[in-house]
Amino acid sequence: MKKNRDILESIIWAFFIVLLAVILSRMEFGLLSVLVFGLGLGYILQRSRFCIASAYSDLVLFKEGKLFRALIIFILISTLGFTLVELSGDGQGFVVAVGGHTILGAILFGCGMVLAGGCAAGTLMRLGEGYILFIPVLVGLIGGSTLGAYHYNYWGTAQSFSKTVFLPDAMGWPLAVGMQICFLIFFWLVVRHLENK
Amino acid sequence: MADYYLDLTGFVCPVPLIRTKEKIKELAFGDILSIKTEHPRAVRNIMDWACHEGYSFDVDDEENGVWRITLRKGQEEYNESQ
Amino acid sequence: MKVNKSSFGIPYWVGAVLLGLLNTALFYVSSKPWGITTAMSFWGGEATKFFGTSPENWRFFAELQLAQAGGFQPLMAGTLLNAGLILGVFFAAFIHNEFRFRWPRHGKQYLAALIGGLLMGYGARLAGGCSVGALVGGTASLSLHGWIFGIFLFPGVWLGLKLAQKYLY
Repeated sequence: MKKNRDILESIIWAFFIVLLAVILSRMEFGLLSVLVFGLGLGYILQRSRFCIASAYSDLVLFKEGKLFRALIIFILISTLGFTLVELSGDGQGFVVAVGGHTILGAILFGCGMVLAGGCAAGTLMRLGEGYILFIPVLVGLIGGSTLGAYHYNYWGTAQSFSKTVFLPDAMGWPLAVGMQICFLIFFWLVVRHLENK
Repeated sequence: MADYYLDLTGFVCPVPLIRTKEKIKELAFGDILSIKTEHPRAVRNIMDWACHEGYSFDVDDEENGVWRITLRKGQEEYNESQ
Repeated sequence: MKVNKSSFGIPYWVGAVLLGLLNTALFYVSSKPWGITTAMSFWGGEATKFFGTSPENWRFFAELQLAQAGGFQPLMAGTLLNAGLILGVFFAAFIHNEFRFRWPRHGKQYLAALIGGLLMGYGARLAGGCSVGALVGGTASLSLHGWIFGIFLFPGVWLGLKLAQKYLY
């Protein structure tokens, strides 16, 4: 019974956030809508105890994939939503070059998020929950991402050699979206299977 | 029947579940392990794991942001009397 | 007070659906998916100005300014989003009586936290986004880099766990 109340609260909160943000974005101080979105995302993150670092480490360490499957659902819903927004004409998604630097960056990031105990969103979330430990993580994040931006003078050149792959350009919208959804469902089932073993 | 206690305050995931799993190996069936943690995600992590193992458990809210998980190693129904 | 076992927050998948919807709405409103670390680069870039650098000449910021011309300013928007997120978490934790200052157990945790943060920040700049920006935002934008990032997080996490089990846990 209380479970339903918490879910209901979260749904109402998310709905209210979207409504307020869309209204604000139509007004003069449109940038404030982003702050409102932050409030909504933070609230849902805290209530659902969502954490991408744990999603990965639980799966690798304990073969516990509940959170990882939720992460796949998160990506699935975002894919559907982003596709609708992009097809309705507004907004260009986040498409950057893919190459060796992506692989190196992902490995560094994965290693870092285990050592730190949370990914970038997790760090902000834990700060909001009052963790002192995540203050040095934030300092490290700022330092690392600044150093990365500084070295981008070099990495940017490396990136300009690798290709930007936007799947709809490569295979058309229906196939790209369809394949992505199939892959996501496939991975969901794989994780589910690993879990039951 | 013995009672064990595990203080996991100050740890973030995945440490709480690792420590819990290490500790539970020392327990005999029927022993009770009481875990204290401040990490909200660890509570759910340990609850999910205990459900999966079939251990009966209880979660108490000790003070703001501190939880105590009492779990019993064993398959039987845990009739606690706290 | 006894906690109802099934009422400890909302289930992961409900959170995932709501986060996905919020992410979509954010994309619709700001034409930019949810990202976190880009704003942090700006904070750090501003800070290096004290040492006499001119970050606006850095290629990273120059490219970003070019891409974002006229739209939402990446510095302001990112900072507001991050600030809102922390406030939202605080609000949620506070009204559910879950907020408290949580101190780490060992001193070495601070060092691991700092190193982890540095690796994450640098990796995010190399790969083009953090776990939220690249993995969720990139994949949802149907960019291949999101998939590659998501897959190669696994060896990174495995390596991190090995290191952590040796020195940290």
